[in-house]
Amino acid sequence: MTEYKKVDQEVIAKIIQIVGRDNVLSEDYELVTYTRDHQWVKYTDLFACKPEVVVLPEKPSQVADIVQLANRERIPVVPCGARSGMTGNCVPIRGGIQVDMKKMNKIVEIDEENLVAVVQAGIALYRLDSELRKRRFICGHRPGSQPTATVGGSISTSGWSEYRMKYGDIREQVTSLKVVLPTGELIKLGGGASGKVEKTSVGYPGLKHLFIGTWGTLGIVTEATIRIFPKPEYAYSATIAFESFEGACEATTKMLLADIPFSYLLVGNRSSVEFSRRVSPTYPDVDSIMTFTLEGKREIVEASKNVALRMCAEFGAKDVGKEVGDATFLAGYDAWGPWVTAYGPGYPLDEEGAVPYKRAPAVAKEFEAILRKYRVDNIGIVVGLARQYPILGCFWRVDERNTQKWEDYKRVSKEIAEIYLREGGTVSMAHGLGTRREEEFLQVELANSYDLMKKIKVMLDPNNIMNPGRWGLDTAYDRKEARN
Amino acid sequence: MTPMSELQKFRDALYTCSACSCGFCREDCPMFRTAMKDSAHSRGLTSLMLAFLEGKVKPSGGLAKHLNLCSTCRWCTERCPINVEYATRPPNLLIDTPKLVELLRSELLENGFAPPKVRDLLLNIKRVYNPWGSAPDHRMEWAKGLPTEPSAESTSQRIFVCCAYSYDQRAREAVRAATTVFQKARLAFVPIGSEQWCCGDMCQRLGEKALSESLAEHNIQLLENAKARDVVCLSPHCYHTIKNGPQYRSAKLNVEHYTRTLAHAIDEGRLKLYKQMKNKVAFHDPCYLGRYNSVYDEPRKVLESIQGLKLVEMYRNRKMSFCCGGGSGRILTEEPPYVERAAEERVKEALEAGADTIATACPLCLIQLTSATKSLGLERQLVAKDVVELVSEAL
Repeated sequence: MTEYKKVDQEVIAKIIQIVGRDNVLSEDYELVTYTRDHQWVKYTDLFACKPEVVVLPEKPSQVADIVQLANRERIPVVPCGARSGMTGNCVPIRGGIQVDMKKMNKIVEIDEENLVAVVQAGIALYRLDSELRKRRFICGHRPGSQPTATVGGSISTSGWSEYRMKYGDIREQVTSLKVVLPTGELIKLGGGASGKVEKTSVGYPGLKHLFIGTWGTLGIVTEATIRIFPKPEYAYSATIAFESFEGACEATTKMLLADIPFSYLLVGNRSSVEFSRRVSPTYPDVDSIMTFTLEGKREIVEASKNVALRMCAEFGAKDVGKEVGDATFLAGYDAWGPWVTAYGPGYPLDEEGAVPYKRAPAVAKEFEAILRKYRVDNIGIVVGLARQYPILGCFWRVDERNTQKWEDYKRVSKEIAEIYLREGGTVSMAHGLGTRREEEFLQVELANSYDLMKKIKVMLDPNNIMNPGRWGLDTAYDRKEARN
Repeated sequence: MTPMSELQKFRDALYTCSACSCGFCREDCPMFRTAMKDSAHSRGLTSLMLAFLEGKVKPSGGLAKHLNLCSTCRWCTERCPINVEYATRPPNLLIDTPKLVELLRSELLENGFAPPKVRDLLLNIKRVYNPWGSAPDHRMEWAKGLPTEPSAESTSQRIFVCCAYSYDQRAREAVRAATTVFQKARLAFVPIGSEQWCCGDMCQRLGEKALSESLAEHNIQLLENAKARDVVCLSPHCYHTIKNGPQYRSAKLNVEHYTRTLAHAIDEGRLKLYKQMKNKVAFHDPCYLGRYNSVYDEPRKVLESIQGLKLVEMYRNRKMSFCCGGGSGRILTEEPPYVERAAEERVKEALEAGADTIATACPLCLIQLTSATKSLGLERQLVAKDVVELVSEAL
């Protein structure tokens, strides 16, 4: 493993020279607040991964100077945004410098004519969206963590949006990026001369994607140009009760083949209904619930809605109205309150991946058997939010303080992941592999492209300073050392 | 019960917040807007409190100074997805960060840690019974030159004039306006007088519970001597403390905020506003009136009864209103560095809403917002006023 230098007073003095004293945090009460994100952690390890110092840069040149300093001194650098990711990706597992990007939160430009916004990486999606809405636009990337997640965090985790069926995810919305490389150079990637062009065919067009979803292991995104969308004139949401989860999945496939332009569509199985009933006793006693949203011009939405409702009715489904819709807890952080409070203190976990719609009901039954086998709380299974290979989310609960169950929790996670792969899907469509299981599944899912990943990492980050210890990439440096 | 043992009771709630870790309480938290770091919002505070209980964070002056960034505005408590109705079922998982901050401040005070400005503020209260440190004899100076008040014997109602209204030059203008408005509406306006002490809000929030109790004891005695059963508070902070604070419970008082009194007077036709006005007014909800006591409609109703006045809403309003950053003693203890002062951000938001006046019903908000219009050089575009001042102009 790479040997790193400790952050001593001399290094802190140099950091202060770059960003100023007010932007450097080293007190214990500051550092403990940078020890976790939204991944489940064994309670006894809760404050174990602490940064040695936190830096809050205010401009890109400061980010570049910090990274150069770290590269020279061999100190790990881990960038972070809102720390609302579910994989532990921004937790400084090797200590070092945590670069908190939240002070870089300016909107550089909103180009209403060309439908793009140029923003610094630390701006919260909610804040960008609020500003855009004042001008009759919206930010298309709307994950469950929208009130807190930052643009930079969404990019470096390749975040996933609940309204992806219409707008896509952030990776499809980025036209260009400004990035500080592990050796400290500040570069621009993609988007043509202005950075605003959605597609160019000049050079390697995929270069910007090297920095989308790579957890800051290849550099720090400081600025992004992303597409924005007109604020929908009208939105219609429906909540439909089905007699079976199988029927709901089949109806979904048919509606997608009919090309109904959904923004959002999610189907919950019986256990998700039971959870909603536990929280709201008047909730209907049915086997499956579907919620969908259509957005756009009113006449288009009205026409689409009529087709969708007719197709659902062919499966004997019933529109159960807004009240039930409001009490339906299918996805998103806002559902976590009820999850937590309905089951007592603990971590409501979403084990997710992708399988085809027609396999979802059978796979859901297998998942539930696993949850029963290890006696963990089953909060419900949901499927949807894609036209093909939809996300299949299995919600269950971990009590991080229960050390006796810990091995069981890991087994549940592993057995569910194996099923996603067996079905030809992916172990994670939304949140990414958490540190809890990354080594086991990386090689299986990535096959021989894993070696290419390691080569890219070594080439861009020769001293392994950027977010080290991720995805087994440290081994790339062991071999390099062995060769030398 | 020591503050530490009381804090221990919230272990499950602190753990629950840590496990959820959603951070929805960040973006519109005035503490975060001021400091923009992870420790400076409810999620950060709950993790550092959990670490404190685990012995991973030691009591220190730095920690006390850090906690002083919280204005206890309760936005986080409203925004928290865990704080839903069922959260109050046992085990109580309600994440009431302002309460938790109060307990940790108290624990730190007992260990001898408090920022110098907080120490001064508490010392002022101990010495002269008001956080401003002004002489008790000067408490009624604002009333100089005003027409004679109705006799104290004629009513069982007393006006509780906040120390801020009594001692701050800007806020004094508002309480003078209140006198005129009450008299026009044929409502009694009998202040408790120069004997009155601070209600105890600031020292309670800063962790000095015992001091807050002794202030309450004195004020209750004064009210009992005057045989007063009804109290009208001009400040939402006094209103909340006297209405809901356990230290005032024994007095069994009927407590009302002045915006409610005026709204009733308008309903009953006792207060008539004849003058035509042209202001475009954005109402800034004071946290202790809105989020703490759910009074949202009355101040708006009073404003809307002014002829010609146009009420506009800021982007963040009512339950989700953005705090001016002046609560919990910060009116006197706020100090740099800040990324942006909460009050300045609020003033800009009022301008964005198209307002030429930002109205509020709290002396602390009034002082904060007035100073923000000045520091931003926006006095010509936007003026900060108390609701009662606008009413008095419309008489």
